[in-house]
Amino acid sequence: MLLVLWQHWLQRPTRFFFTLLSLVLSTATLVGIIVASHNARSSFRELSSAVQGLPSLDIANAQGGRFELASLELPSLHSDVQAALPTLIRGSILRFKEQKARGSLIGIPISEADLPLRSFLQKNFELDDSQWPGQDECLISALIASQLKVSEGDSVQCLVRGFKKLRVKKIVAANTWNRISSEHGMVVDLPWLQKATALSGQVDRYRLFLNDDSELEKKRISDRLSQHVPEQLMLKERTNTVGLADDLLKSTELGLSFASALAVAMAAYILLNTTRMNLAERRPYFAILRCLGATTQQVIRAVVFEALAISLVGVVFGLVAGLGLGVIMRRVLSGVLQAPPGNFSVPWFALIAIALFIPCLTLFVVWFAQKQQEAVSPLESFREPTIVENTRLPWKSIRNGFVLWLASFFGLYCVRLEWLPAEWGVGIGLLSLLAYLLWLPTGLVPLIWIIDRLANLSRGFPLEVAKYQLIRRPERTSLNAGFLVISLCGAVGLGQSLMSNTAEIKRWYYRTLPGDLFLINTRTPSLLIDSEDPLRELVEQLPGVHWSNAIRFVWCQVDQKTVMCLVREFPDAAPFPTEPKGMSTEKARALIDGDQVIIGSILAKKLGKKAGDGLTITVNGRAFPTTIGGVNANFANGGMSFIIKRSTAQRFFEVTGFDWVAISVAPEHLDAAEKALESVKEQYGFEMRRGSEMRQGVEQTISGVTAGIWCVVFISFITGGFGIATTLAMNMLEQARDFSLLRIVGASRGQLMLTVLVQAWLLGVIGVAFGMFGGITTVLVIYGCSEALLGYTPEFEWNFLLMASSALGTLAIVTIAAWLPAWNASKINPVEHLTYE
Amino acid sequence: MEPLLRAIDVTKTYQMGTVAHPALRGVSLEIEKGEFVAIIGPSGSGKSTLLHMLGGLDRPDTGDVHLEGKSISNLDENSQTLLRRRRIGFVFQKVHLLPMLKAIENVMVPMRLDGLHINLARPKAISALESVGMGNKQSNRPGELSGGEAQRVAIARALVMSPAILLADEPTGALDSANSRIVIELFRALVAEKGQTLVIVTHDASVADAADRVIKMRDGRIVDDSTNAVPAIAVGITMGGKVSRKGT
Repeated sequence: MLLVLWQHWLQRPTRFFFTLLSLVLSTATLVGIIVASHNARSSFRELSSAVQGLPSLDIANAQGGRFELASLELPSLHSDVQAALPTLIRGSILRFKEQKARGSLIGIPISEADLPLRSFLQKNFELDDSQWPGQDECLISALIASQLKVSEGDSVQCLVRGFKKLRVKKIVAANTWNRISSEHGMVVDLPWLQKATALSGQVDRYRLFLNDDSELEKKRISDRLSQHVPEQLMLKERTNTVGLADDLLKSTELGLSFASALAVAMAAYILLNTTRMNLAERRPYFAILRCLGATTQQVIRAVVFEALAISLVGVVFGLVAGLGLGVIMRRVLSGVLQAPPGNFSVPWFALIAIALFIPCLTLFVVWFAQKQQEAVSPLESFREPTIVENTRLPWKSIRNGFVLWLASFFGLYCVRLEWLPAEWGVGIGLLSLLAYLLWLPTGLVPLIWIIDRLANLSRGFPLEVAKYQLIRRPERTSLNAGFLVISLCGAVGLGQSLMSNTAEIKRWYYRTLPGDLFLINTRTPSLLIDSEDPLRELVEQLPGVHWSNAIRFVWCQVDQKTVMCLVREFPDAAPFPTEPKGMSTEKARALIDGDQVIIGSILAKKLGKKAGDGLTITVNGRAFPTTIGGVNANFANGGMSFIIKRSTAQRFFEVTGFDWVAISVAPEHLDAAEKALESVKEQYGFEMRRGSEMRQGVEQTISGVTAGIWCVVFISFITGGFGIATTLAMNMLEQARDFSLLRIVGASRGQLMLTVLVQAWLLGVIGVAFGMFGGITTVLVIYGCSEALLGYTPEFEWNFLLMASSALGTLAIVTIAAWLPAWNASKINPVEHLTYE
Repeated sequence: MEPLLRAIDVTKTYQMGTVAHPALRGVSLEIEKGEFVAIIGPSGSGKSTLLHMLGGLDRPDTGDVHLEGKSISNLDENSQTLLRRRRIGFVFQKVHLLPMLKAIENVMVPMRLDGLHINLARPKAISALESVGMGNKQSNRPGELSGGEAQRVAIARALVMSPAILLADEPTGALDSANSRIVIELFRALVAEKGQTLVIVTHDASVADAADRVIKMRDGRIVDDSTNAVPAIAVGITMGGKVSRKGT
């Protein structure tokens, strides 16, 4: 039996090639998307670890700024924490040859580290003994090193009261660096930095690295230390002042999971399509075998064994192809988007799982396809293969599709009500996709009829033949168009949510921190920027200044949670920096003026509070009751933050000084303002950055994430295109008889080619029509789950450009994919075909 | 006067792996306009290969084929396609209708390929179907027709472009005797009433008997070329599908 099957493949090398290619594609799709998703996730993790790093608690000045390390007398914590790290941070200009970069000098006790601390730092900075920095040496973050184009062993100049040279002992990868510090720059010896900055004995924080990230552990350490931390200091969770919220990215995470699930669906789809074609084509052979005495079970066994053998070969090639695809797409997209590609890693466990999964999937698909078809009758070998026109509606598919569609919407409803976890969104999205796929055969004929009416396919015979070829086998056509539906679901669904997510982050960032020039406090905690302060006066007297806004980040406790309080001014001339849900700017301004606060949606969700509820803020052990005026999308401190007016905060907890000052300057006065402030920069100790520079930094970070996700979408598209190419090529083999007949009665090669291309275009249009529905549903599912994930639904607009470009991209891919099958069809030799009939 | 179709010392060898199979070994023949020629011979004698050469479906290794005084062997691909479309009609043993098209749509195929608008092609197709007695089955698909009916649709399709010559390869090979008889009579009527030139490759003695001229082939050569003095037709079918008794 197997010999017969083997001989069949030997005689049909093209068919064998396409079958193997389908398996390779299925595997490559899965591997490619999972590798790309894995790396996109890694980018998220890198972003996230920039905010969070190793689990830790910081002891810091409650008012911001530095404190005397000697004022801190703590009990021995050796057995409670991994390490305790006093740190002094100075903003600086770093210079190497012609290259310059802004970065931080992070002083930690390198020369004074005891053995446990040294071993902790070596482990987490990934240093061997020879890489431990000595006198006048430093570690440098890879982020800064790449900007400076510096190598290990080079000497970098840093600006601390004049330029000083430090030799780079080791370039530390960005994600490794983030374990210890989210400020990127150079790690230097603490006593050296204290001496260089004349800040002897002072530190910005005393960081305690915890054994784990659990709330229990944090509480245990907090309780243990609470009595030992002086009043002017506070214990807080390690946070970054402004970071991209991990919570925000969760919806995109959900999208990536969905992309991986789509890859599985695509793989199953490719295999199902190929298997069905192979089984249907070989029915006459099986019938002959049945005539000769083979039992149905023997036929099935042989087919299953054959499938297993081919799938094993396909998996090997597919793994290699998928890895290559993932690497290439990632590089190409990083180049196109000018985004840092990050560290590439291979999820080996996933690859092993795929290597086992694909053969299992193949066996399942063979079993399923075999089950769907009637058992092969010996009589079939005596019959001419006929095409039975099925004019009845596939009610079973319609019903099943409807049930799945209802189930998906019920699931979505449950997620919105938080009866189900948001992660169930992936399954819900797949259910709705499956529903559209089941409806494809039903919608096919009416859709082609509409296209026929619009495009008048009858005007050209090749167009008409193409139409008939698709209609005559609705199931086959649906399976082919299904590739495009799956691809478009990914492209439109993920693309739309991605664009809206990034747009949301940008919108929030630009709205929260408008301004053309930023002063960032790096020196003294007591630096004032209030009305009586000369710096404020200087800023306000600069020519062309529209407004300035002093911002402070104050740590406080709300309901036992460490929360960031954004203390800011709301100048009338400046755009109102927040948009509370369902509230006009005027009303929000009135509430803020009335001492109320606007809290982030994630904080509101975690506190279980809404607008109008009371809120007690604890700063330095003193509680201040206030009211929640509104809830907004706020990504500072992972969404665990609220906004309060500076005058209110001054009354409540005597806030002074600034962390940031945002200044709006007329463009023609920007250079002059920068120059004027440059002269007093050293005196007051601030860093100065242009707004455009800040925005560029945010956009670059976002581009890195965007690149990863587009990578997933592109792979989905490319494999969809390959899937179409493979199935079209197999279709052409099936239609060879019809094409040879057309050649005999006078069809030119060009006419045959056009017939195949039109088939492909029609498939493209069908795929686009259903894929758009699928994509829109995916978007709705992702956004439906956002409420449960984020506590709000990110604002989004339908991106018609994305949809149009996805549709055009689909048609372009289909055209490219159809070119080779069309070319082959045009080369059919009618005589050869007749001879073999 | 130039014959309608002329084969001049045509040879063709097929390569099957490492083995060469000579199918035609220097065949020459001439067919006049209005002739009904049957080519007979055992399997592998080269009948079908010769028919393919005559119809421009394949090119000879050496020699030449002329239709209406012009060489068709050396025509480029496009010209050969146009020639097949406009001047040559084909009928095969296996019916070779497009299964997804109705009978009338199948007949319209050559006209549609030639760019004729569907509205102009339709009456001609109806007329061709009526001429083979299939006017009442124009909306049926091939799967809904009997073998004989389907073959008559194929003949209508072959005739619809008014070809100079009709080439048929075992047209009755897959039909029962009753349907074979109808098809033979149809061919005979075509020749008699319309002066259609017809070349049929056949194993069927009754088809050969109906022809004006019988060419026998063996091992890629013509071994006999004779004329039937009185073609054996007992019952005729006239163009239009009406059965009439002609008698002999």
